[in-house]
Amino acid sequence: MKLKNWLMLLCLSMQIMAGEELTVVAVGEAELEREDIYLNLNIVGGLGAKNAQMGREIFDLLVRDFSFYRSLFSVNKSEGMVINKKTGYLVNLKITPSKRGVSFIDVGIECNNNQKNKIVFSEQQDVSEGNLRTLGHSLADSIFQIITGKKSIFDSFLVFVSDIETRDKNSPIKELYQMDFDGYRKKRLTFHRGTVISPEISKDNRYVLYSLLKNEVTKDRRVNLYMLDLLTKKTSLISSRKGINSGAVFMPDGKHIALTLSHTDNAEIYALNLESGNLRKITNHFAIDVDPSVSKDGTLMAFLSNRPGDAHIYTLDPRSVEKDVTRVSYVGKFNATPRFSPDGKMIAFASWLDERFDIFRIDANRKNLVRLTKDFGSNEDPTWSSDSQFIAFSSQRIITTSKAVHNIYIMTQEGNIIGPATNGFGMCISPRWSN
Amino acid sequence: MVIENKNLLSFLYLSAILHFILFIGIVFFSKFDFLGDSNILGIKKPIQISQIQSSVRIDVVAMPQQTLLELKAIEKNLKKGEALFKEEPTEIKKIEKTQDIINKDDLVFDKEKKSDNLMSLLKDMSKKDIDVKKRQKEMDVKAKAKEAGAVVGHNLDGELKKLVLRGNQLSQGTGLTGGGDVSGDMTALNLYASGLPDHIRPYWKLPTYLKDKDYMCRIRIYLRPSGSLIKAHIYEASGNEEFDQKALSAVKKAEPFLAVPNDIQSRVSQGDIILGFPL
Repeated sequence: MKLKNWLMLLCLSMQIMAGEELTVVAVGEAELEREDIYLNLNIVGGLGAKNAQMGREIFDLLVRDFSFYRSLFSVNKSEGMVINKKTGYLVNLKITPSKRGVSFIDVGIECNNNQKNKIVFSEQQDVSEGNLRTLGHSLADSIFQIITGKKSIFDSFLVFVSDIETRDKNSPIKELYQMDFDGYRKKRLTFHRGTVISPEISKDNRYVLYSLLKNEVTKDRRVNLYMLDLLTKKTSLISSRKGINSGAVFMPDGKHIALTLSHTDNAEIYALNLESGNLRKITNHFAIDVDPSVSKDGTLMAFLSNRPGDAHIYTLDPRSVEKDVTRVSYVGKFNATPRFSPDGKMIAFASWLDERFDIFRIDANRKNLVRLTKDFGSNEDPTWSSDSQFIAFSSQRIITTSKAVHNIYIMTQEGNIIGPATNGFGMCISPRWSN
Repeated sequence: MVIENKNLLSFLYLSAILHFILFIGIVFFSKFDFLGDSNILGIKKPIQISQIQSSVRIDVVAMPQQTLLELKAIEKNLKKGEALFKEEPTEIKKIEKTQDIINKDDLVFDKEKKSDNLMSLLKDMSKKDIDVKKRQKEMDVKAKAKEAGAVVGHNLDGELKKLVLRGNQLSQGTGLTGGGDVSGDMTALNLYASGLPDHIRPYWKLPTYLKDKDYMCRIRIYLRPSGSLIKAHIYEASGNEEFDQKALSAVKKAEPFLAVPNDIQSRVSQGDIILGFPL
């Protein structure tokens, strides 16, 4: 009998030990819930027509800025309304006369979290026509950061090359220009009367590297490398070796640049110390290696090489020579301009397909090759925004057999075209986004 | 029954004592268990968790013809059960039977004469056997494809093949992506559970300030045979209450789920399925 009891106890213990088996199934990443943002303008009486117009301009700027992030926000605008919402954010912009005089307006801005019924941002500024856009973008960025916890692109800018000054003339010159990310405030940066190619902005947004092909005929037609200081407006010659000195990009330390040189007859990528002028080889292969793009942490460099016969994208560790060379692209007739996203996760590039270039994107680990543009002219030269959410690129539309239009367009990293940043500004190519 | 063999009796006693010590040990150590569930005795159960994940073989065979946005639109349509590409109507022509008139001069080749030796007979037999197996296999594949088509309302297999032709990097491939099983063998429970994410995903949304924060939570669900929810609770919290509540809310909004097959009803009602947000 005792034994029977023991055996029963044993069975019970075995049953408990057997336990249960659970199955976990992954639901996957969540979709983004778009945040409602209500922008409301209140222009207080007593303002002149010009000042009221300034108020409207700053309001339109806010609406336009937030509309870039259409995947994050559902933007609603109104004027002089009392808005009572339970969700999203309400941004109230109040324009009143300034005590500083008629050339100023007083801009009061408040952002309310409707769900918590709590004011999360409040600021009051005197704004003149001269600082209206800078201040407007800055206010929009402050609100964006409070809502998302991340920095926006609102105070970023683009540099690009345009032939606007000599459009339709016999000897065109292509100079460097700068504009806000939204296409406003274009200004000329260089006056070489030559052809500027492959610009690049430093990490601190102070310097611009670019190569120059001078119009005057010289013996060897060198493509020299220059650096422009955006603060002092001074230009300095960085490299003028035989052959090409181009495709330069800043390394993350700010002291070195990676560039393509062909002074030894074969185009290789080198690291150049800006202070000492010392050169170090990064690639060393009989094939042509061009177009470097370095990841944010400086551990990976994407470049273009014809090692397999056609032009394909490779990556390597730029801290040494030919270290960890990995082929990224295996398909495409001709791939060009590989550009690392600032977060280092993706590479955007142009590829020749169906008799034109289109923009593609691939993960840095060689997975997820996706096409971003199609049926939209010929699209080249992608450049990422600092938050890796947008890509600016140059797009060419053929109008007649002898005429084509080039403009800079902006799209999301998913391929949603936001719109053109240039229009009627000559042939605009080679955009580069600030950091 | 009386056990007279003293050695056997002492062995049984010793075995029972050892098992008892083992049982006490398990009860004691189960207090340090991090898995939150307990049985009716209040003793925490050891839980075996298996994660459903499938792998697919994908090779890049050409530059993608479709853009990312187009592919997303296709995916949405597939979820809605709409046809991806419209089948072009095929014209069916009636063929009138005509009598084959064979003239004497039409015969070009003589009919091959079969040799009657043993080797050819064996060859014929094995060929017949292979043909029967091949036909059976083809029929099985067709039946499976038909079954899959019936679920989504259209021929998914055919559509994916068309996508391949359009250069969107889907192929049988040699490169493996995904960390799961490629064999495709799934238990009935796993098969049922693998269908749940599609129901939940339309409701699984996060605001900007919670996305890309690498939060993860797991929710245990208990379902009735009809697929309606008995209860759902946080099994593993993310550390952010709002994130957990968004996940829980997505589950509640998504019910009722598909009816639970008979053979797994008891397991599903006991909460054997855990949903991972996102993994």
